Amino acid sequence: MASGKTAFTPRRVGRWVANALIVLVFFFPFFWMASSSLKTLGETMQFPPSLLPAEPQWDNYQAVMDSIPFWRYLLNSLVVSLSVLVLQALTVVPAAYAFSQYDFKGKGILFGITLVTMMVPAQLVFLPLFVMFARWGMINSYASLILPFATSAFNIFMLRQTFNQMPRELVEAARLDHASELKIIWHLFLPMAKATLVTCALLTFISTWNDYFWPLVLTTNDTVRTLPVGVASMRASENGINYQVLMAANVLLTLPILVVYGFANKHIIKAFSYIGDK
Amino acid sequence: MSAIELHHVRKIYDNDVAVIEDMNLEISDGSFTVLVGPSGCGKTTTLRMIAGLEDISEGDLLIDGVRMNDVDPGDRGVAMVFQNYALYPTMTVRGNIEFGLINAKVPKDERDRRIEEFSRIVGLSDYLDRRPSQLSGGQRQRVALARAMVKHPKVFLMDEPLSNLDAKLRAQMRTELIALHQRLGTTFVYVTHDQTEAMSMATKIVLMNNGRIQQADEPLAIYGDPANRFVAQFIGVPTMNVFERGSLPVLDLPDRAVWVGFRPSRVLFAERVVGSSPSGERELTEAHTPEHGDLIFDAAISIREIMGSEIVYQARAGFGDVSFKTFNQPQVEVGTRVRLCVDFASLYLFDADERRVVA
Repeated sequence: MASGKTAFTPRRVGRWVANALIVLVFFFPFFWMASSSLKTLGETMQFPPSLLPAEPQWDNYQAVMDSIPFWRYLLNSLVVSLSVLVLQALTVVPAAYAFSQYDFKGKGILFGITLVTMMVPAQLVFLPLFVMFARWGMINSYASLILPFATSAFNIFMLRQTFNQMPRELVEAARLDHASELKIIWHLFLPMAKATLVTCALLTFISTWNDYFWPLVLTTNDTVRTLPVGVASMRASENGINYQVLMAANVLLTLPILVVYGFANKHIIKAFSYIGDK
Repeated sequence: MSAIELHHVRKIYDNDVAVIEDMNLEISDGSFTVLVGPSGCGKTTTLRMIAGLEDISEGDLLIDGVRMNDVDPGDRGVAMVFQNYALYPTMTVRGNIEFGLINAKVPKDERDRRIEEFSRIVGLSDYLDRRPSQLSGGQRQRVALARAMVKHPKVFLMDEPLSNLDAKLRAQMRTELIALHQRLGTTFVYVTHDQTEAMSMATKIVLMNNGRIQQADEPLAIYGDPANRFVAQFIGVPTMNVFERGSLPVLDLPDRAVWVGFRPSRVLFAERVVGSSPSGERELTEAHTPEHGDLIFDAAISIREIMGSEIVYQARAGFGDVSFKTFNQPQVEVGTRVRLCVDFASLYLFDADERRVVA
C-alpha cells in the first residue's frame, strides 16, 4: 500500500454511513427474529421491547418440534428443492446449449416462447394446473410439487447468454479432437460457466425452498407438506400465537439457506476470479 | 500422391455471396503449403473447409483420395492450430494434449508415451501441470502445436498461428516450424496474410485474392515469375514499383505491355553517389553502368529507412515515387539527387488486364 492511513473525506464518510445503514436495514430483521426466538412470550409482547432476552429460552426450539412434525417438513423441503435442482440441470443445460450452439428451424420462435413463459404469472396458471394434478390424482405428491419447476425459462436464458460468450474456436478445436457434444458440455462449457451455474442454482434453490404458494395449494396433509407451509400453519394454532416459538421455527427455516449461501458465496467468488484469470 | 485435392470447390454463404469461386488445388503429400493473400481473400475459408468446420457448397474435397465433404472434422485425420490457440482453459497442459487421444480411445500407456515425446519436442515437459492461463503466448502456441502433433494427423492445418506473437518470437517460431515440418514429414497447410512467412516457410505458395487462386507455385517461382500484377506486388518488400508504360522514358517493349514493373532490389545507382559509412566517414556508393535499352531516370531521395545491412529509400522521379534498396552500401542523405537505372531484363510487363506479358 502506498499510504498507510485512510483520508476521512466527507464523501468517504458519507458512503460509509450509507453502507452501514443499508446493512442495518437488511440485518435487523434477522437479528430480531433470532433474538425473539430466545425470548419468553411476555418479552415478545412487552413495550418498550427489549433488544435481547433476559435469559435465552432454548426450550422454544424444542417447542417447535413438539408443535409441528418438523423433521417431516424438513425432509419434504429437501426432497423437493434438490429434485428441482437435479431436474433443472437435466433440462436447462441441454436447452441452453442447443439455443446457443445450434442453428435449427424455428429456433427463434421456440426461444421466444421460452422467454414469454417468464411473463406469465403463477397465479394465472395455478388453477388449471391444480385441476390437472387433481384429475391425475397427484395432489399431496412430491411429483406435483416438483414437476411444475422441472425447468426454468430464466435459467435457460441466463445459461444461453453465458454459452454464447464461449469462443467458437474452442468448440471447433474440441470437434477436431473428436469430442462428442456431451464431452464439450461437460469438459468445457459447464466448467467455464461455473459462475452462472452457481448463481442460477442458488437462486433456484432459494426460491424453491421459500416457495409458499404452490405447496400450500397442492398439499392438504402433512405427507409432502414443505417447511414454509408447515411453519405458517403454526399461526393457525388454537391457543393463540406463540411468537417466540414461531420465530424459532423461522430461524430453523432460514438456516439451511444461510448455510447454502455461505457455501455458494465462496464458489461465486472463486467462479468470478476464474473468469478474470482467463 | 496428393494429400489434399480440391475439385471445382465453391463456397457460397446464405446471402448468395461467393467467397470461393471454382477452386482447383492439389496439395502434395509432405508439402508445406502456405495459403496467402489479403484479408477476405478466402484463404481461411479454404482451410476451414479442409478441416470440416465449414460446409462445401459445391465441388469435392479429397484427402488421401477419399471424398471428405460429409465426413466429421474429427474423422478426417487432420489437426488444426488456431490463431488464438483455442486451448481448453478448464484443463491443464497435459489435459489439453491428452483430450483428443482420450476421445480417440488411445490406450493410457500410448497416451503417456506420446505426451512425453511431444511435450519434449516443443519444450514443455516441465509445464504439463500448468493451466493455459499460466503460460506465455509462445508457450501457449507450443501447447497448441503439441496438441495437434500428438494425434499423428495426416494433415496439419494452421490458421495464422504466429500472428499473436511479438516479432522476435514470431521469427523464432518460424524457424521451429520449418524444423518441425522436416522432422515430421507431414503435410502442412498454413494460412497467413504475411508474405514473409509465406516466402520463408513454404515449399509451395498458393496466393489468393477475391476467392480465386492467383498463382500456386514454389516461393522463388512466385517471386521471380509472377503471373500477374497482383502477385508481383503482393510478394516482396518493399512492394514492386509499377508504372504505366506511357509515363516512363521510352523503352523498346511489346505493344501489349501497358504496365511496367521492377523490384526495388533491382534499382541500382547509375553514377556513384556521395554517402556516409556506418562510422560517419564520407564514402562513395557503388555504381552500375547501364546498357542501351535499360531504364534510366533521375530522382531525388525523399525517405530513408535504415534496416541494418539494408537501406530502403523512396525517391521522387518525374513519373512518380520509386522504392529501392541498397545492400551493404554507404547511406545517402535525404534530398540527394541521384541517377538510377534498372536492367532491361529485370523489367516485368503486364497487359491491360494486368496479366503478365513475357517479352
